[in-house]
Amino acid sequence: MEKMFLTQEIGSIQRPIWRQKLNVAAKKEWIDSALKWGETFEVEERKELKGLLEKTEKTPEEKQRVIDIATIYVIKMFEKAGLDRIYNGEQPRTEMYDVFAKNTSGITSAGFVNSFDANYFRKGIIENKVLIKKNAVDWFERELEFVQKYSDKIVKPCLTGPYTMTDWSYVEFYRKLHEKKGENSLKALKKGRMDAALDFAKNVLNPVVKKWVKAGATIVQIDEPAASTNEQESDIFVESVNEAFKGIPNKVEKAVHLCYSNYPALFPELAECKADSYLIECTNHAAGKEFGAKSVNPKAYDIINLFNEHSMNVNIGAGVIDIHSDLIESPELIRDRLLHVAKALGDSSRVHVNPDCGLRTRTWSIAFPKLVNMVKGAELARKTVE
Amino acid sequence: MNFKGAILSGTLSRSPETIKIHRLLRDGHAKKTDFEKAVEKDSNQIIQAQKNFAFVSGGQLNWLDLLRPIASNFKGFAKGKSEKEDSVGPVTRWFRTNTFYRKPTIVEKISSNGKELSQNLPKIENNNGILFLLGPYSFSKLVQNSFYENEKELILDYAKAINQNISDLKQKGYGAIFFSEPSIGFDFSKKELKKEMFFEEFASNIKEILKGINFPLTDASNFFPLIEETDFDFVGIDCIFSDFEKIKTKKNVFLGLTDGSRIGVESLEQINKIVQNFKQKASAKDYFIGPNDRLFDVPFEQGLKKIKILSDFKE
Repeated sequence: MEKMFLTQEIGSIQRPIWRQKLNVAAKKEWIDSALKWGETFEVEERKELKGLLEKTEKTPEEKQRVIDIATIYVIKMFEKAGLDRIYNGEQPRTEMYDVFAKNTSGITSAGFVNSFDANYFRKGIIENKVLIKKNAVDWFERELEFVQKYSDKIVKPCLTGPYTMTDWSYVEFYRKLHEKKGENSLKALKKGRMDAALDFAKNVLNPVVKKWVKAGATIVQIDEPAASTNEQESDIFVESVNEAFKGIPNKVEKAVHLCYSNYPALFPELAECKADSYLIECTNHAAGKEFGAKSVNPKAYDIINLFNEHSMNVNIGAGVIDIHSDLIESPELIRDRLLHVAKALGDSSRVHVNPDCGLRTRTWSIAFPKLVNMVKGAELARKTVE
Repeated sequence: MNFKGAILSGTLSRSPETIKIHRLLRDGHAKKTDFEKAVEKDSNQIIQAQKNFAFVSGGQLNWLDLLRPIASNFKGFAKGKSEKEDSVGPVTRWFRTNTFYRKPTIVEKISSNGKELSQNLPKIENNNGILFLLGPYSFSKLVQNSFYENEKELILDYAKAINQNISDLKQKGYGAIFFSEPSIGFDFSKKELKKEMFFEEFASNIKEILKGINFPLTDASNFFPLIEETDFDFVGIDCIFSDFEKIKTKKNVFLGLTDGSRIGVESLEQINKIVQNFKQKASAKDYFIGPNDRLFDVPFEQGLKKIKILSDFKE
C-alpha cells in the first residue's frame, strides 16, 4: 500500500541568478549564495561550481555544467526537505511553455506578451502541423535520466499539457485549415483548437511520455494550468490529455496538475479523463484572512466534493502551500489543511501533498522552508490519522 | 445604420523596450521613472496609430490589470504593506491565454475621492479619450468580496465611485468609458442567463459620459434584453461568437470584428464583409468597429498593425 500523505513537489523552482546569467561573470554575492546553499543542501559539486562561476567567459560545455549543477542543487533541496517524489525544478528548461514550443516544429515565436506583473512569456504562432523536433525526445529522456542518476527518490517528470500549449499559442494553421473548408469563424476556431490540442498530444507529448516510461518512470505528470480557461472546451482538454497518455501501461501513474482553475467548469467532462491523480490548488483561492494558523476554511476544499460526486476514484494532490505568498505555513496549518482534504475525500490513502503550483515565484529562502514545513505537516497529519 | 468610427475595446501590450525596462524595474535595476517614460513613449505611438478613430486610448499600459489601480487607490480594498506589484492580492487566472490578474479583497465600503482614475491615464487632446474598465458583473465576480451582503450594493458603490471620477476624467480629455464583461462569456456557457446583473442600476449611476458595454467571447445577442432599456449608449458585439440574426436593437453597437486572440492582421476586405453581413442580418442604430477583445494578448507591433487597419476602414 502506498504511503499515506505522500509528499511531492509540483514543478518549477526559481532558477538562481547564477543559473540565469550564464553569459556574465558571477558577482561575489552570487558565489557566496551558491556556496551557502550548497552547504545547506550538501551538494558536493559546490566547489566545482565556484570555479565555473568565477570564470569571466564560459564555454558552452561549462555553461551546461552550471545548468547541471543547478539541477543537482534543486534535487538535493527536495531531498533535504524530505519529499517523497521529486523532479528537477525545471532547472534545465527556460519556461513551461517555451521549452515545448522550442522543441516543437510548426511553431515560431511571435514575441513577448504579458503574463502578470513584470512577467512576460514568448508566445508562439502555430504556422504548421505540430510535431516533436528530431532529438527533442532524447533531450527529455536525458533530463529524466539525470534526475534518476542523482536521486533514489520516486522521480516524477512533468510536461506541459496539450490544451495549455494550444491555448497559449496563436492557432493560425489549424484555424485556417477549417476556414479554407468554408466553415464560419466560430466553428473554424473551435475545430482548429481541437485539432491543435490533439496533434500536440499525439505528436509532441505522447512520444516523450512513452520514452520516459521506457526509461523507468513510474509516474508522469501533465501540467494543464489552462484547463478551465474556456469552459466550453473541457472536452478538448479531456480528449487531448487522454490522447497524450494513450498506450501508457496501467501500472504507470498518470497525473494531471490543474492550477488556478475554475474547477467546477471542468465537470462533468473531467470524469471521462483517464488520469489516476489530480494535483490541485486548494490554498490560493482562500481569502487572505484564512492563511493564518487555526483559520483553515473548509470551503477551500469544496472542490473535492466534485470528484466524489462524479465517482472519480482518483488520488488528490492537495495544494497546501500558497506559492504566491512569502508566508511560511506552519506544519500545524498544513496538517489541518490536509485533514480537511482527507475528510472531504473520505479516504486518507488517496491524499497526496504538494504546493498549489511550482514555487518559481518564491526565493529559495522562502521555498525551502515552505517545503520543509509541508513535509512536517504531512507527518503530523499521518500521525493524527493513524 | 451609419459608421461612427473605430474604437479599441481594451488594454494593449507593451513594446519590447518597455518590457525590458519593466523586468529591470522588477529586479531593482531600473527606476520607476524609466518605466513611466517608456510607457509614455509606447502610449504616444498607440494614440498616433488611432488617427481616424472615434475615441482614442493610450492603451492603459501602466495598468497591470483592470482592477489594479482601482484596488490600489479606491477606498474599500485591502492594501498591502509594500509598494511592490504583488501587494494587492493573490495571482488569479484571467480569461484565455497565459495571463493572470491580482484578485483584490473588498474589506469596507468602496468609495473614491474623484481623482484616482485620471492619475493613471495620459491626457488626450480633442476630448475623445476612452477609458476601459470592468463591467458590473465581471467586477463583482473577479474581486474577493469580504464586506458586502449582496452584489447589488457592491455594484452600485463601484458605479458611484466611478461616477465621482467623471468630472476629473473629462478634464483630462476622456469622453467615454467602455466597460468589458469577460466573466459573462465564461460563466454563462453552461448556465441559465440570470437577470441579476444590475446593468440598469449600474449605468444610471454613471452620468454625463458616453458609456458602452462589451460582451467579448460570447454571443452578445443573449444580452440585449438586459441592456436595451439601460443608459448604456452602445453595446459591444463579438462578431465571432454572436448570432447577428437575433440582434434587433435601437442602440448603437460596437462590432468587435477583428480577433484580439489572433496574430494575423485582418484585411479591409474581411472587415467590410463582416460589416455588410451584420447590416444585412441585424438591425441597430449606428455602429462602431474595433477588436472583439483587448489587444493585450498580441505583441505591441502586431497590435499597432491591427489598429492601423481599423483606422483605414471607410464604409
